[in-house]
Amino acid sequence: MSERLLTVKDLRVSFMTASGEVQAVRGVDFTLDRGETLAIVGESGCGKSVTIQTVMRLNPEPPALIRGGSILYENGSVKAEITRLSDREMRAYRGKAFSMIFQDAMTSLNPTTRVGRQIVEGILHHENVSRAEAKARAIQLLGKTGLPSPESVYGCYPHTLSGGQRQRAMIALALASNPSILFADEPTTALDVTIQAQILSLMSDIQKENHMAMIFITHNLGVVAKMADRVAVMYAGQIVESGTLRDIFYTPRHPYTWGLLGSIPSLRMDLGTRLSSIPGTPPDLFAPPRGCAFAARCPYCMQACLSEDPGFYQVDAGHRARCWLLDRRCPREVEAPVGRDRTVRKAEREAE
Amino acid sequence: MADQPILLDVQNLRKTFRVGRGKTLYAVDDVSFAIRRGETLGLVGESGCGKTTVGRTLVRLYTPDAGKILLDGEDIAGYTARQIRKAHLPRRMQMIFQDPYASLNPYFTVGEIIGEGLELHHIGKNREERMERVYALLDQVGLHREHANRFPHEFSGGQRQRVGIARALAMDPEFIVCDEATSALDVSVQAQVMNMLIDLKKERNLTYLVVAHDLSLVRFISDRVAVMYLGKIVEIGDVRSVYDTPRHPYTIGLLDAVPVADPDYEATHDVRLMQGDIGSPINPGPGCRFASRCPYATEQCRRETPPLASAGGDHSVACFHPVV
Amino acid sequence: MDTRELDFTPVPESSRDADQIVRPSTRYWPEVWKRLFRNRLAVFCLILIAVIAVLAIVAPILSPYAYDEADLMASNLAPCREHPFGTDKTGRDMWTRVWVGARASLLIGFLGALAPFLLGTVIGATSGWCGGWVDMVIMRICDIMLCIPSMIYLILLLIVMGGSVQSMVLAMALSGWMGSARGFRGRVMQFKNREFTLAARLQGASGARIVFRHILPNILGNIAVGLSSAVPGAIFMEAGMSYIGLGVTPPRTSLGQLSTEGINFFMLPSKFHLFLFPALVISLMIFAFFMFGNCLRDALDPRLRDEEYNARRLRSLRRALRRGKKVQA
Repeated sequence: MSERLLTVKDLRVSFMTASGEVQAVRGVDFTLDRGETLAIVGESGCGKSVTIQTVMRLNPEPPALIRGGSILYENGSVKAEITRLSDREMRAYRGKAFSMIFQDAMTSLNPTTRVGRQIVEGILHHENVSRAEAKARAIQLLGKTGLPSPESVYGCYPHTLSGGQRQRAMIALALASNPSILFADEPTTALDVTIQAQILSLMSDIQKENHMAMIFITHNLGVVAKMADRVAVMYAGQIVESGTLRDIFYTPRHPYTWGLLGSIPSLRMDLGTRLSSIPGTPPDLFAPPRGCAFAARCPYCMQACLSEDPGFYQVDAGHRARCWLLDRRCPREVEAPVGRDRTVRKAEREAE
Repeated sequence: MADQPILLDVQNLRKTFRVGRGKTLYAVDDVSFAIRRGETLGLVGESGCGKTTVGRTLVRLYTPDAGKILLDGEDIAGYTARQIRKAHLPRRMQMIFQDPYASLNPYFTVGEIIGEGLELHHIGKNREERMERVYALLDQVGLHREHANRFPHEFSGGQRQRVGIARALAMDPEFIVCDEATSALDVSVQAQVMNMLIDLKKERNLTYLVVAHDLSLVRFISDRVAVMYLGKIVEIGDVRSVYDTPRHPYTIGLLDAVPVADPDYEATHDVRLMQGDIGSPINPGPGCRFASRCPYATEQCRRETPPLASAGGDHSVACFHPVV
Repeated sequence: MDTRELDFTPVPESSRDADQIVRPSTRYWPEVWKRLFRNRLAVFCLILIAVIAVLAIVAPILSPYAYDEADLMASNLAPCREHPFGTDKTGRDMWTRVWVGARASLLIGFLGALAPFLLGTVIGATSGWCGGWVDMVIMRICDIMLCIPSMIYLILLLIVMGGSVQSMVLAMALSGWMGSARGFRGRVMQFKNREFTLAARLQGASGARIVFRHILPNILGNIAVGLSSAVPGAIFMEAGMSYIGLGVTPPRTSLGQLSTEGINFFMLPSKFHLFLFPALVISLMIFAFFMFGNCLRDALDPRLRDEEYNARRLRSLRRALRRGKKVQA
């Protein structure tokens, strides 16, 4: 039996701005077990970053506001409802329970402090060890991330490192406190493909070694296919489909997932084929649509989609999607344009 | 395509930047290639390889240090600002920029942005006629007439990029440089913009130079492709030939490193990690610039610069030990 | 199982619009004005400036006395009905004189801030846009001039040209352009390689068009703030120059000159008004311009906009949520 670390239920987060309330996250549920990697995929503005930043409580509140839902963190005897923690209480969880790596390493590295010292501070903050011991650990961590000469990087300032090296140093920093969950927000988006391949393989090695859980945020489906065990597809502040990696790539059930999979050019695609694109633009969450958020761009849109939010349908164990096409009463038979198993069967509505 | 006349012939192009005392950045170093009318040449490479500089030099945002840029046989490499205006280069060559947020002036309405070139070159009899053209362009890129009076910040990234495309098309150019035109966009929107670029090319018989770091994207849109590494073209040829039978070790490593959106493939595929970091284009020494990362490098590679030599047909590679 | 009646008829794509913009159109400057006028301090300062300006224009015209009309019979009067601010030692009406002086001070304040700014803007734009040796030469001249305290040229120029509003403004322009030239050059350089400037170049726009049509609006905010905080500086400078006898020459007058005269009677309660009124008006003017500059800076910063927004409402929402109430958005 796998060990549950994180349970997020019906999370709702808004941003209060001068022009009104932007509902960035509109009822997100997911769970995370020890040792597994969940990828959250979606386009910019779909709320994927806001979701994990809320789990780490990194959003300044205000303007962010948690309007509802729960984030339950369990680890052995530790049990905490993250949404209720004060900023001071939260500090004990950041680093120890959750750590995060960003797209831009300079977000988490302090430009005026030497890399090694930052890692040592991280270790000392959470553990009662001597400075010398912490230093040895820091060098060991830097070495683990594949930096060629960890001793010399230890004394470097972040800006003197190259992009790939910086990313490695940030990973070392994130691992300093031995977190049980690592959040990775587009960790390789700014990197070149050859460097990206190095960093991705480093991350999966470290995850296996430390038996960490990881939430990986990206819009690159190739990276998802490489890294994830389970995938959640987000659109307009909601998860529209979630399932195992193979569920999402081979038997996707939501038209948005179809659109997403169909719109990436692949190295193995036949030359001269046309990409299937999704027309239009995602809805403005300042005034989210009443029915299905994807309806305006969906090629299978029906009247019901415009007026009612579909809610989740259980396709298979662990695979669910939010789409009226899956409803038993829907008379339309639709064939998925992508994936291996393309027949879409009607599904059970998930018990509320 | 091969029977079309050559529109742009680039010969031994060099562009350097001074980055400090005695330090010179060789952004583009002795690069030659030709683009035929109606063709799309893809230019790929990692950051700092000089691909953007090539694009900007071709449309004469930069003045090259050496080399020729023959546009229909006329060398525009040394044109002064006045000559550029006189030759109406802006009406012949345009560019689509990478960052849809930085490339539109926030204080101009979308109509003003698209119509600026028309106004500056007195295209169209009067304001009304120019506005009509702007509306037609907006329509062509899938936006509405009413959007002409809106400001850029009100649009999403994809919509802004379409405004950028409309601006590039406004003066009906023959040649367009797409500088990472979709890299800042989301995948679904990227496909939208890519399809639009392909359609427009067919409709208007355009010639593209597509500068990008995304190999799958370049494969999708280009007829021919050039791979750059630290200011030099290491491999160039027909898309099919370069992607199916890459000859340069760098091209091979690059293609291998691209993650594929197929879990089964990824589960069984082991990336042969290319060691080390991309080198620096500042004061490079002699020899092949890829030598430090290359698994096949020999003494010769460290001493001499390999010339771009034909590897059969249209396919050329700059390597002493091309992989077969 | 839900039993709602649902309509599963397909909706054609043409009837939907995925590219519409639902947010109301927002423009930058109208937003800035809205924010500025919501700030009570800014409105107060603006009113204060307006009142002083109106009085400076109108009061001398309506006053029965001319500012240089001496009346030895009525010298050194304390404030009374005929002379609200009293009279000076030659019996000139202080009310008229203060507002005539305010005219000069306001004029010097405005033009003395604007002139170096304009000069600096043009020089800085040339320097930043041309780059290369032009930039080198201009910046070295700038450095040299900055090394010598500007007070020295100001004094020299004023000695040569004599004290009047025009020469004061000219002297300020010639001695004070360096700061704004440097600032503007930096901004132009910063925007010179932005993609939208490159795009404008590709459209065939000339250098002047790019600097003044494309770049200038982007930094107008900073310029406005710089200008409104340079006004008190210029007024101050005029007062300082008057104190060392280089300001506006008598019988013409300025607030600086009036306060300088008045300061001799600072300790005399019977003539204290000669100091009090000019000093009060000058202080109010400086205060109003300075605070207005600050408010303008706040209004121009969009980040502050959302923070300031309805903080109170947010706090109450939060409290309600904590108590578990349902909240209407």
